[in-house]
Amino acid sequence: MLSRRSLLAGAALLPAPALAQADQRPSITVAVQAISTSATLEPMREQSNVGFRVMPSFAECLIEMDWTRTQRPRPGLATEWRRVDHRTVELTLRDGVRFHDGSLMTAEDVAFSFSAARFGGTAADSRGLFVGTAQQSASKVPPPEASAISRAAFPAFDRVEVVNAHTVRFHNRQPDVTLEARLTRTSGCVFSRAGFEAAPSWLEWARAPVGSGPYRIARYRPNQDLLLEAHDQYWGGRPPLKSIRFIEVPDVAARVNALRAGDADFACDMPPDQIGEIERDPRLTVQGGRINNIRLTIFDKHHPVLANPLVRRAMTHAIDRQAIVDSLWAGRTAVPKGMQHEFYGDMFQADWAAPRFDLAEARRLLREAGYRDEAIPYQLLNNYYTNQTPGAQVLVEGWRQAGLNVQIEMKENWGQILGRFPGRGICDNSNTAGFGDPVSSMSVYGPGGQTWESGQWENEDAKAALATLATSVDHAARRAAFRRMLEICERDDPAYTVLHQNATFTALRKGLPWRASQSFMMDFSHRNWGG
Amino acid sequence: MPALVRVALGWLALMLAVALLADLIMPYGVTALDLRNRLAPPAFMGGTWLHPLGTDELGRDVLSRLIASIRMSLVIAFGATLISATFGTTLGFLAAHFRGFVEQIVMALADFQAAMPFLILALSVLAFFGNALGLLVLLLGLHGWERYARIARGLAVSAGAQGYAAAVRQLGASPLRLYGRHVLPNIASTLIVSMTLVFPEVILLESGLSFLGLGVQPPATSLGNMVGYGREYLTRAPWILLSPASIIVLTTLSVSLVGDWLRDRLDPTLR
Repeated sequence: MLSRRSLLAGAALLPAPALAQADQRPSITVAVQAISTSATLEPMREQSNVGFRVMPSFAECLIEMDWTRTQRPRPGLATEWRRVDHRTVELTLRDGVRFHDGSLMTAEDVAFSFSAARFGGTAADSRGLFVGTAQQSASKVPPPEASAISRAAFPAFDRVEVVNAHTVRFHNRQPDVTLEARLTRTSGCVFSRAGFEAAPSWLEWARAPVGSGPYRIARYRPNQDLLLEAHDQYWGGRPPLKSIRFIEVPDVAARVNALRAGDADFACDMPPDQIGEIERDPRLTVQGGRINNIRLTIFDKHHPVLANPLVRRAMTHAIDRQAIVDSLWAGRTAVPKGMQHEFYGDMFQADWAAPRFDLAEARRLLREAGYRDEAIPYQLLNNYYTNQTPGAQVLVEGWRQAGLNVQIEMKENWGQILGRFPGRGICDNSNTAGFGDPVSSMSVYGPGGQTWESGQWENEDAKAALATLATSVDHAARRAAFRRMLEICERDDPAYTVLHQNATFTALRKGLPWRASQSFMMDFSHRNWGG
Repeated sequence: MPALVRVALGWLALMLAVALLADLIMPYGVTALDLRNRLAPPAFMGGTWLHPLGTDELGRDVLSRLIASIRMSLVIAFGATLISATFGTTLGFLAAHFRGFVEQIVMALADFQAAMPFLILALSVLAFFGNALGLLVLLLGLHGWERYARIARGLAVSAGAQGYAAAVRQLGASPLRLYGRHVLPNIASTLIVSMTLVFPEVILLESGLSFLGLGVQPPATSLGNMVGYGREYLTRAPWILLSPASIIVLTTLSVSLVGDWLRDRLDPTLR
């Protein structure tokens, strides 16, 4: 019979404490609500908010975004870059970058990371995209989502030219003023070519891609946990942590309890209502605030009732956004001026605004549309986003007051939201501005974007405006195209309506030398730990 | 009648009245919210009588939601108990009437059901088929049928050996008439006691499933659903969770007390 005492005695004999003496760096545990929605860690398949939280710890881009301080690009795996022409950027690669398999990064690895091996072919049929997790297969061919994501991330990408061992050139088929900025997103991460070739299948590689970040993937169990260990040959020096363990705890109360019990050092995605309670514990603190992500509600324009844009416009006017921000978010976030951020610089349209809360206007639009109390389904996930279920009930009540009959249908996963099934109506979504230009957020509403590819919304005028935004080098024309895009997507033929800027709050043990970033990513590198 | 049973009967009558008159006595709509007056404490904790039991995280009146929840939970529990009683008793009678192979099958099914952890079964069914209210009631109606089947079979077999059943049969009554009009009324007392045992279990099961997020879905509300969504506010606004939780405790306790008393009353060996 194994008693607790003999078990403890046995545990003491295990070699783990001996290792700990050799390596004094702390190990931390982070309780997150989910690690990856696709059950992979490959950015060309996993583009979710939760995936962005973990990726920068193991994968790096040529040019990085400093989400913690400046919200500006900074050198990453490339030390400098310059424009050759409107379609071409030349980058000088950093020397001495070692991948997790010990090999040195070369220009060939960069070329591989932007090749068909990762981008996949052209998807013949986009049906069924983004609806499930990646399936087991012996193939080395990426799934169709990779093709859609790569097309949205690099819409006119032509090829990477290896000039010499330290220099690469990115060639675009079209002019693109945001080519450098596009490289800062997770889809621009560089991975080891040898690591990909050594993996038996695409899926096995995608669950443990060999990158160059400060931590390497030691073990990933989908829907369970992710163990990252220090990559001591990291070009930026020895990482400050021995290991980071991300554990999936979907329930808020359970995440807080894990933190209180000492099972976790960080607990992510705290609802604002919990902050006061958590901070009453003298050992804990909460960090975070507004981030580069906007929460929105997506309309399926092919639903028979929503097909009429007036109905969708009425819905946009029946939402008291400020009340949601003031109450559910305790005023800790704000209502954005439509789908844009101030860090868009001079592309920011200061005179645009989210639809005003006006029930009379909503009722007038419904009368004009000839709406007769037909039910509109609302497919809802249970608190995937912070405050999602309470927020949805506020929306439905507002719509009810305007005379709209919206029926909530609780769903379990994204497949039941984005899949092409009869009766798909409204759903929740969020949109991340990956870099300081509107093309980063608007490309979702064009070919290759999730909303467009999952068949919720298409609009030829928007496609044309997005093409101008993506390929024009004329600043005034791009600004006008962005304006047109906002008018179409938010007013004339609403694809979505913005609810509020997103905010994320992380509870952690007091005294940990870490700072929250202004995005979902968590930075555990030497830049953001200690010092 | 012991005082405790009187209290229990009174409580059940109150719950029944609340469920029947829900629409009349609800002070506010179930979904009517007031975001600027959220998490207001109940009157006895320093709040106002505007919201006697306080408001929840969206500023909805807890009393109104509690009334709607009582109706929802009672409807589900009554529906499910009736389904399982009807289903189980019918199968028990079939086994008693046909004996042989049919009896073997029914009893094997009953054993199978009894051996199966019902919550696991319910979770998997709801995960596969989604969670419509009708499905939930039907599913909970599968809970406890095996007990009725065993009791009904045993009692019907022994009733069949008694004179009144033989007399009715020899007068040419159909099996439907025999079991429906003569055997059932004679064994009903035992089945009713059995129902009082299953009823609180169904309430707890529904609460458990709703707490786990698989039972009644928002914007509809039930006792378990209120407890589930109120749990995040346990320290800050305990009234959201405490009122439905105490209703669950008091109602299930009352039904059990009444059932226990009924059993004593109906058992001839205790007279």
